[in-house]
Amino acid sequence: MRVETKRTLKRFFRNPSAIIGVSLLIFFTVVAIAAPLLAPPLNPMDPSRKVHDPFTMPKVTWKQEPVPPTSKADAEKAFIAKGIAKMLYEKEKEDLVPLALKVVENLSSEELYRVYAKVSPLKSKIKEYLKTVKDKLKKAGLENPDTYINSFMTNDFLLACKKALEGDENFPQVLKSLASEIPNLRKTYLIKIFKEGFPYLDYDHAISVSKEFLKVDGNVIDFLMEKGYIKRKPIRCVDYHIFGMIDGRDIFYGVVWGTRTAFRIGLIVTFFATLIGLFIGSISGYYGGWIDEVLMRITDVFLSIPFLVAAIVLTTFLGTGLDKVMIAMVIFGWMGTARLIRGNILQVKEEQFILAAKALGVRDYLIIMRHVIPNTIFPVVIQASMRMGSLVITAAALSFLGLGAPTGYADWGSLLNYSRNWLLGAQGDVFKYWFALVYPGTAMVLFVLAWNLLGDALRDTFDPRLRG
Amino acid sequence: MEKQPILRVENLKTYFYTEDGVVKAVDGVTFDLYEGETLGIVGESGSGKSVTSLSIMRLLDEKGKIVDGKIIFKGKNLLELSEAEMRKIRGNEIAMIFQEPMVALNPVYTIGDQIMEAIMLHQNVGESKAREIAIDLLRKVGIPEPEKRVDQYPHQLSGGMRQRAMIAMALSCRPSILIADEPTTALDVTIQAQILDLMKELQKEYGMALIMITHDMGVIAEMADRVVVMYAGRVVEYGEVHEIFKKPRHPYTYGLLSSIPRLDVEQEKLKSIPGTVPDPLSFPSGCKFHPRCEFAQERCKNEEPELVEVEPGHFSRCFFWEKLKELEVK
Amino acid sequence: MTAYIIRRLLLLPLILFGVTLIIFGMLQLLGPDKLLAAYVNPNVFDKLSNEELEALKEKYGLNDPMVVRYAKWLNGVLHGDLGWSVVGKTYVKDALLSRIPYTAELALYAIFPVVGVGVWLGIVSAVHRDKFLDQAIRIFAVVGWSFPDFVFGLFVLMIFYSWLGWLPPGNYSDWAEDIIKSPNFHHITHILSIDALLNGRVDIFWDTIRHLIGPIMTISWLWWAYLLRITRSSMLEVLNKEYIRTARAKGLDERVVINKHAKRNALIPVTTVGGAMIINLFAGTVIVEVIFNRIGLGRFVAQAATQLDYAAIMGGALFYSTILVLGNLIIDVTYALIDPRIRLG
Repeated sequence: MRVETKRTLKRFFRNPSAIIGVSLLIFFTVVAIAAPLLAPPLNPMDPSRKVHDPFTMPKVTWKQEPVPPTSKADAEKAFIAKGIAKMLYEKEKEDLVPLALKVVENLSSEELYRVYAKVSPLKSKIKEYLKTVKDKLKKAGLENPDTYINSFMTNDFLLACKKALEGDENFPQVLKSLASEIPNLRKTYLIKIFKEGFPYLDYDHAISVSKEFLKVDGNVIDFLMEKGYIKRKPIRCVDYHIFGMIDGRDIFYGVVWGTRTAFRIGLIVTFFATLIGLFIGSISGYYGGWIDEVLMRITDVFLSIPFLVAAIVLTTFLGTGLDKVMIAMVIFGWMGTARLIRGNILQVKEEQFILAAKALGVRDYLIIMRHVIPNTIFPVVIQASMRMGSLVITAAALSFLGLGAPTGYADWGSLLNYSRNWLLGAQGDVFKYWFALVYPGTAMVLFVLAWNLLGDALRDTFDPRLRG
Repeated sequence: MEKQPILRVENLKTYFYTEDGVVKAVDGVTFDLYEGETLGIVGESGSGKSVTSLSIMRLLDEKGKIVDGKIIFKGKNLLELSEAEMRKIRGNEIAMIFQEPMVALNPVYTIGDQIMEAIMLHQNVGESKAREIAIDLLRKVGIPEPEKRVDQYPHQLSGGMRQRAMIAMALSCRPSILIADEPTTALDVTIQAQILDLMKELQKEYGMALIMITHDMGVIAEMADRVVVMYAGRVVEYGEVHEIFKKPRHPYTYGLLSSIPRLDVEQEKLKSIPGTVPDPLSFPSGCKFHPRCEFAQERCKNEEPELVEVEPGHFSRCFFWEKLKELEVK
Repeated sequence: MTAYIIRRLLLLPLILFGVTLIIFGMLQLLGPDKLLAAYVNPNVFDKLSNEELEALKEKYGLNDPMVVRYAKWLNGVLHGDLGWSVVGKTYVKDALLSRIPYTAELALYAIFPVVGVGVWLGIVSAVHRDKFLDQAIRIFAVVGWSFPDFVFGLFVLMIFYSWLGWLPPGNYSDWAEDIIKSPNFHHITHILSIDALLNGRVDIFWDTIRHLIGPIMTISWLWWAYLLRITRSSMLEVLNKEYIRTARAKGLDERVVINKHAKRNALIPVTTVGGAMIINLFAGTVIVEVIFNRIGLGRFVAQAATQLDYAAIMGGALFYSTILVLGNLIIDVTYALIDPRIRLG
């Protein structure tokens, strides 16, 4: 027996898949454990700002100030000024939709729902109208309607439209509805910004303070302005940010802490899904009869909803968040194990030692625990390790669709989701934002590859059917 | 004076290069096969008897390599033939039937398809003619309603029927040698006897030589003219069937024989050979049988005995074969 | 055989019933407040007072016992009433139906390269077991299997669209859209590429194909790896079978042994997996459609999910499940027909 074990181990470690897989996994484990050392959950530019939840990637702020504020009151005022400046900046550059989305991001789920209900029809209305406007502008002889379209919703543009379209009977209505929505949204946003920083400050007070500041000291606004950096645009390799930045967040931080997220998702989901599968499969296989029939039909039903679709649906209904994703994946992820275990048990059941144990009157659960499970567990372990990879992919896919990890959470899928928006926009300089895709993408592929290689190697070593 | 053997296997060495090391499955096997005779190869599983037969057919899987030796069939060394030449011999001049008729027939083709395939390949006849031959063959091997059976799939036939179909397939080109690898092991005892009778009959009719590979001394006693006893890749005893049964000159053969229940002699207890077949990756030094041998002495641990002719045409690989002679006297 | 099919047919409604139970059950996680949102015009929703909300809940039966609500909902589903989709701005049923051709087109075109090349690679790999070719294919498979489709799709977009400008995202180009939407363009099959040919517009045909290549590449990449592995192991298992040895012992040429004796046996289990795969292709288009910005079922469901369009999500899930169940039935029956052991057993 010992010789056999030794030989098996030897065979396992002579398999190149096993070597690569195990090394990669060791590497990722080390990264996950050392995450607080590799990427400390502090804002590297502002070490005083500790992050409460280390999985939330800190927003990086830039300090290029000639004179930092000295008193607490100054700092407070500066913060408000920053908020206003940011808003002004965005008012100029962004159209209504991303602004609304930004609002959405910062709101709780109840608020979100209400805001959403407002934005959604509005958005489509805008889009619908955009086309007709474009056509009419063209007809009116405007040279470059597209540039106007891009800065759509700025006041100048609206005025231009108004001029161009005077006499159109629909236009006034649209304008009216837009006008009624815009201030509301901006107001909400404004309140949000101030509330975050100064919960005790009321709205009017904040406005007056910042107005004062805007008039009095342009310098303060200037040094705190996050112009460009707070934007979502990826930025390559500045200062400490060796992997670059995206969405105002450090990619390196996201990749390192994302390792922890990946392990957490993979291990927890695999563990619980396997446990449920083991339980249902062993009961079904061992008792057979109608219990088996019922349990297997239930399994069939769960298998009838495509995994990704099921995960999307359940995550949507539970509300977003990684824990919800994990719950969804456990609920729709146990069937494979259950079937595997059942099949194996049906095989093992006919073996002599089980019949012997049964004949001796050993209790059922003892037989399952002592005899059946140890004899069927290996395929389950192999399957589990093969599944780790695909689970992590599914979780990332959900994050990618915007259903998984909350904004700013260190998760490879979310990072890839950010990068998606920038890959197509960069006309002319295509690979400008490559790092936003390559770093999290590579981490993810290697992580999945490691588990797949390990599973392959385990199967090659232990599955006698495939042994040469 | 001696007849020329139709097949001569000389110092055959077949090794398997596995991930765990080299398995010397067949290590220097030599024997002759004469026209029309039945040669039994007997041994426990893992003794290399099946590998020997697959080596003759050159049907080893990729890990198995014939590293040394000659296999001379009708004057030609099979090991030197090209793959295309070898294909002309397989199925045509040397045919083979396998242990498990359940798995040796392709489940997705009818029995007829599979028999006709070989006929059309080697005999250059058309499909309808091949079909006739196939039906004739099925009738000859004792399958009732061959016209109907020919269009049936293997799973629709019983185990015994399938083995008969296998035999029909093997005989389709009137081979001069038929290798039967444990043809009856997987069958019921009553059917075993029928199949063995059938094979005997057909052997006489076709005048072919038969190599019967089995672990069952009973089958050997019934079928074989001469016997090769193999243990751990080596021939340990080789001779006429009567000689071997009456005067075994190797402790292993002796052990095999005394583990057969006999009705004619009163036995207190059935003997068995203690221990198990050694691990093929690490054979014991010296005589490979010594850990299980009741006559083993110090010398057996260090030296491997040669195959010596103890009587004309009777060989044994044991230092102490004479002791067995004494035993017999008692 | 007949008994088997009858049993499967009897189980079919049972399984579908189970699916509706699960989907309805998931919906209950929302609670009545959010459920109400599915019924009320969102513009009105915010302005309602609590009393009004309660009254509405009562009106739409959200305070009824679950069984009653389930029965009502199921009744609706059975009559094709899946509710109103905010995202689709139409009834969920219509929204789904209008998007099927797009996804079907994608899946249809993807099947050929996926199955053809995947199976072929698997067989080549198995026949050349442990040789260089096999090693290369296996490395390809395990790497391919580890590549999430969205990562691969992003790479495809980056290279073939942003850089080379060959494979644009979307379903068709702007110039084509005008023609397609014009009354002169007849929608006969609703599958664009075929309609284009039927209308004699080869340029539009090429345009749609050009838009399909990127998504197909992305789908193929993942599924090749999968199908290849399955074909390979099935083929290896068959090549180890005794009947292959029997075939060789007959003196058959190695080509005949592989093409006639091994392939047919090896491909029987692959049919099941391959069939299941084609169905899953349908579901697997979610990500691809999102990345390549294509109109289709998958993107519709994804949009519905991000915009909390509950009716559309449930409709989509039900639709996908029905396809899966029906597809599996067809596959199982086909499987039984191919394998003589089951057909005549």
